[in-house]
Amino acid sequence: MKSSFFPTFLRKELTLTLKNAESLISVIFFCLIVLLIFQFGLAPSRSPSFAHALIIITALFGSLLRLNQSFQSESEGKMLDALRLTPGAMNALFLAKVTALVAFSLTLTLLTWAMAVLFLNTSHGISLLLFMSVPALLGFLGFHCVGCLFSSLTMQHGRKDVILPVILYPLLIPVIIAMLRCVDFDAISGMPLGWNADWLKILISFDVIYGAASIMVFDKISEIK
Amino acid sequence: MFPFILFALLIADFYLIFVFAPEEAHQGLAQKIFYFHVSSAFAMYLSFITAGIAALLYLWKRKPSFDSYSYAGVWTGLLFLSMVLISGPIWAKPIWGTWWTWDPRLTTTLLLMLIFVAYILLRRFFGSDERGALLGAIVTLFGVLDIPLIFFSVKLWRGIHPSVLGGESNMPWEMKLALIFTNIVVLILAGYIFWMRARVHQLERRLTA
Repeated sequence: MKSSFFPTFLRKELTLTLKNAESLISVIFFCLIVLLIFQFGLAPSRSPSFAHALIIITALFGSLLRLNQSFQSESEGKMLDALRLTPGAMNALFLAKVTALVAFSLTLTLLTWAMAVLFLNTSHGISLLLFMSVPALLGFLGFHCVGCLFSSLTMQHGRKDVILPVILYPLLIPVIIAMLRCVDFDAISGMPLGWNADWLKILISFDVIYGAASIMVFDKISEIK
Repeated sequence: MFPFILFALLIADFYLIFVFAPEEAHQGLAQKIFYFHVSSAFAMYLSFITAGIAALLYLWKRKPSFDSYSYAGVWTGLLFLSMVLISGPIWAKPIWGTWWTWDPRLTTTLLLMLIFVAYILLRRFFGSDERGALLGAIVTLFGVLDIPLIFFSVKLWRGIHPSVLGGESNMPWEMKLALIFTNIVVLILAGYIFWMRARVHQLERRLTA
């Protein structure tokens, strides 16, 4: 793989994300709405463990919205055909997309955390953010490796908005559970105590297995139009 | 001829389970579900592993027959998974006092059901063309990667589901015989269903081609 492909594609992805401000803002507002609906539906709580679960779930839903649009630019014209003919370009594109999507999801998690601290009046907010960062990074890495793969395969299907969540969420439930269980909380105060080593190991194992499988399979499936 | 032999084997199996094998002292008649539950679980795992191997071969060779075997493997696996998820709670209610717990093995079995139902839905959306077969193969592969979690979930996490790996068994020989025979018969039944489903899928593809 030529070394210049990855930085070029990454720069393109980040530029496209930043220039497409409307969809970015709409995802942020979507997350706010989801957070509020959960707040209305569940008993109000200042507990960080409650906020942690809401933030992760909300950020996951928002990330899926972004994932649905991830191959929009490549689906137009014959861009993918040109990339298929260039050795190493498809792998670089895949890695760039995953990196950009993870960066987007982490930003979304940060913004959702801020909204949770503001609207839910969550206690120990800073500790929560610090402890949540590692599971969020590892979790979204696994989420987007698999998500990017399936998004590329379903991009031209008319019902991809329905198909992608139906395929993706069942496959990624182990990653989602691990993200939610990775942080231990004090039973009484709800204060974050630290990372749960067992769940962290499981999350890392998932990332290694799913990440490796996604990269290997993406190369194969890129031959199909 | 073969279906009749299979039917005779099933009758023999029912005899072994309900007449020959003794009733368990504490669980009573409810314990008899154990034979169907465990053998269905083995048939389920074997079907999904077969589907995974066929999916891998399809990704490598792109032969349509491998896609049919993968599809049949998932279909057969889902059939026996349904048996597991139905017989499990029926057995659990009188023994554990609850229909369902979020025990790791139960939860992961439920996840497998969600993954492979998504596979069936995906094949309905995409059909049996190359893209549908490819997507199906990838979903199957990722789904099968989840299967080891089921085997080791009782060792990795604590749960109330009994472990079938290792450990000493104090089961009477009559029960062991009934269990082994049921496993063999159910595996033969699974193989027959798998073969018929694969044939139907191949014929459907030829008709729609």
